[in-house]
Amino acid sequence: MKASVKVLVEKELWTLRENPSQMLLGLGLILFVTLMSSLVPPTPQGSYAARHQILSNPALFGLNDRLIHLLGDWTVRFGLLVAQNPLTFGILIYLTTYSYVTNSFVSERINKTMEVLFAAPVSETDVVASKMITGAILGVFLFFLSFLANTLAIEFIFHHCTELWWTPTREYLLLMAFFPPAFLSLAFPLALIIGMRGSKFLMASGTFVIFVPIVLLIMASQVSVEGYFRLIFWIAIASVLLAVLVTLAARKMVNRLAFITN
Amino acid sequence: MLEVENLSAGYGKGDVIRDLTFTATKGELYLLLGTNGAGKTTTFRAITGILPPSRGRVIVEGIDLWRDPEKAKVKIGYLPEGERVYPNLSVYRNLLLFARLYGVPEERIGEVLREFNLKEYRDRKAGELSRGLRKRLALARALLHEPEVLVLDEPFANLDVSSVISLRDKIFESLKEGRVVLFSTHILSELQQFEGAKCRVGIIRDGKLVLEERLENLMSLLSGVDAVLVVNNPQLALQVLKEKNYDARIEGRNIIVSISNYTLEVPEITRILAENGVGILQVRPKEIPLEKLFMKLSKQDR
Repeated sequence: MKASVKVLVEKELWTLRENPSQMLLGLGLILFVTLMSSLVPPTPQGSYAARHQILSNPALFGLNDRLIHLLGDWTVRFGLLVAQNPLTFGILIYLTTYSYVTNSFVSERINKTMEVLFAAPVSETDVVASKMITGAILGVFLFFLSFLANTLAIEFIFHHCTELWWTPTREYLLLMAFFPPAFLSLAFPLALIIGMRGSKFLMASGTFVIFVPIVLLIMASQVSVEGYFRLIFWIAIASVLLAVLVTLAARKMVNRLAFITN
Repeated sequence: MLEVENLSAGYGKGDVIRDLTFTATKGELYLLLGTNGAGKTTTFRAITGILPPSRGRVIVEGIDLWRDPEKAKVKIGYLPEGERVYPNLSVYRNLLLFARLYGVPEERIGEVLREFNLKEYRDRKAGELSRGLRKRLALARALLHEPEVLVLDEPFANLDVSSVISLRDKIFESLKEGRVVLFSTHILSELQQFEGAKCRVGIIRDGKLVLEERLENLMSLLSGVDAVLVVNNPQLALQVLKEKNYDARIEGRNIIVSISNYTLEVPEITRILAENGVGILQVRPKEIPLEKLFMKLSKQDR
């Protein structure tokens, strides 16, 4: 890594440590979601829909009739941890990273510190790269944390009910290992474009992804469980493609004037 | 040495500054004087490598700034208008960041903290400091890498008297150390602070350098201007000056003295007041608007 980028990443990490609210919020929400979905029983309607989905193809959840019987009332919560939490985590990680990177650009604009950086032997690419790398460190940290917390919660429930250890299914691994990073990849170019422009309206518009789980939940009740997994997979693919397109657009938009003019 | 050749720059919608050419040599103070919006900040942004020029060159110690920015930028220290410090970082980390970017050893930070009397604020967040202290920190940051050229954009703006004095002393120190110092202001009376220094004044108007003059020549234009004295005892000062037949009056808490030759008479007045036990806090010419100075200058040109 270029020396100046390394120094700027260090500066971003100092700032993150001095002002950890965004990171703590993301971290807290991940743990909260994991705990809530493990402990709080879903509504009767949600429970009915989830049970219906699980029973239609238990193999996708790594279950069979005997295991479902052993899981009993925990089946629905187990299903939520396997199929729904990866989606929620993807959104949470996206929002935390997006908000961190956008704020980082915006606060440099507000404090006008970007001007002093550009007077130093630093290029605009170095500044952008340092913010992206720090955002990636934050996103990857939250991703591993969510993976660990969710998988531990699943194993805990499964072991508690069946005295066996659950073998993660291909669908779970795909969902958990692909969906959050795919969404994370979209956070960077969007945050860059919006951070450079710095408008509050644009900042708010980047949080549109909050609607993704709502739309998916509505759609999930209409499609089969296979269809639900496929849908999330395609949304992840679309996120990566969109991220590539936005990155190409952002590269053209990045210039010094955008950072120093108001 | 700093050479600016036919420099034009702007923000995408035409040039804000056009065809600026000037040179400042070692130990010289170059004052850029102009009204708000004349193009002073844009000039400094183009000189410090922040704003790419549309035309022209900036040569710093023989290095073309826009051809070899990394080498040229280490020779420039920049104090922008406002403090532009990282409010969430400590004083130490504000300096450490730039020490690392400029490749300065960490020990130098300790020296700078001592030099600028910031040692006791080392671990305080920059955002918690007073404006004067933040300005001091920003100047410390600008001088951290011991640059050959120091660029100060409206450095006295919103500073109290003691901060102005300490900043002015630092500027004189920098000049003694052989630096080129560029300084911008829109306040005419600030020029007076630098009487006695090797100093040239460039007057910028609508993005163009309309006049370049040595400071002493420009100061002579201020003759016939009233002097404003800020003193500890205005009544006593008025009485003393009246006894010596000066045309003096009190305005607010200040004493205004009508004089015919500012440069010659002010030292005499301050001596008389000091001998009579009047404490003098500040002496400055009664502000004449820059526009009036421009008019005066254009009349002189004719």
